[in-house]
Amino acid sequence: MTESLLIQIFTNLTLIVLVGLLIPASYRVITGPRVADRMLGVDMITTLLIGIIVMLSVVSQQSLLVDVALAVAALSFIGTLAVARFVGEGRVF
Amino acid sequence: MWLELIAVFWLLFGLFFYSTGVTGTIRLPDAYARLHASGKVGTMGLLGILLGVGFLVPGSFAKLILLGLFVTLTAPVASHAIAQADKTYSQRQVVARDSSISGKGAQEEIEETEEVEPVKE
Repeated sequence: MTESLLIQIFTNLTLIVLVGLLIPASYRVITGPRVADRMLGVDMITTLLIGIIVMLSVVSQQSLLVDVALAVAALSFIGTLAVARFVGEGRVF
Repeated sequence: MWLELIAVFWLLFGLFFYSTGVTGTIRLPDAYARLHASGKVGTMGLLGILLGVGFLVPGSFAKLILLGLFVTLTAPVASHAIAQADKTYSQRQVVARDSSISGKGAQEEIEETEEVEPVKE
């Protein structure tokens, strides 16, 4: 699969901007005044991470990474539910 | 050529929504308002990125559609779980504080107590 120069430059720029957006998203995780702020910061970071993995599959031309993004989405959903239940009720199960 | 231009448009769409979501996550005043930003706007940015990549790589379009459907279904559930956990946690903190002050469980004061901490500027 050969891509034009515009697409190569633009996908690399998109990947760089997405990785750069991780830094202000992790600001909310570090200095969140409450527990919910940290939890939603982690949720935002995993949403960003799915986009980063999908863009990385375009840049490095490996379509296997889309499956990795699917697994990350499923595991982040389960993890968010488990942490929310632990914070809310004091126990997971 | 037109497919690439459409892909660039959707990638810019996704980048715009991602930037708006991260900015709202930082600048909004309350935890619930921040939840609004991270739950909906971030998901919209991810959908834009997925559409752009789907126009660029047509071979994995079905898996990208599946990923978009999964994220669209699970992001509201996760946001609701976070909001409910925060509400239950605040009520537990209030009950613990009142029972440590007065010595008995102040169960009837739960409904009229609001936020535990003041809203940060």
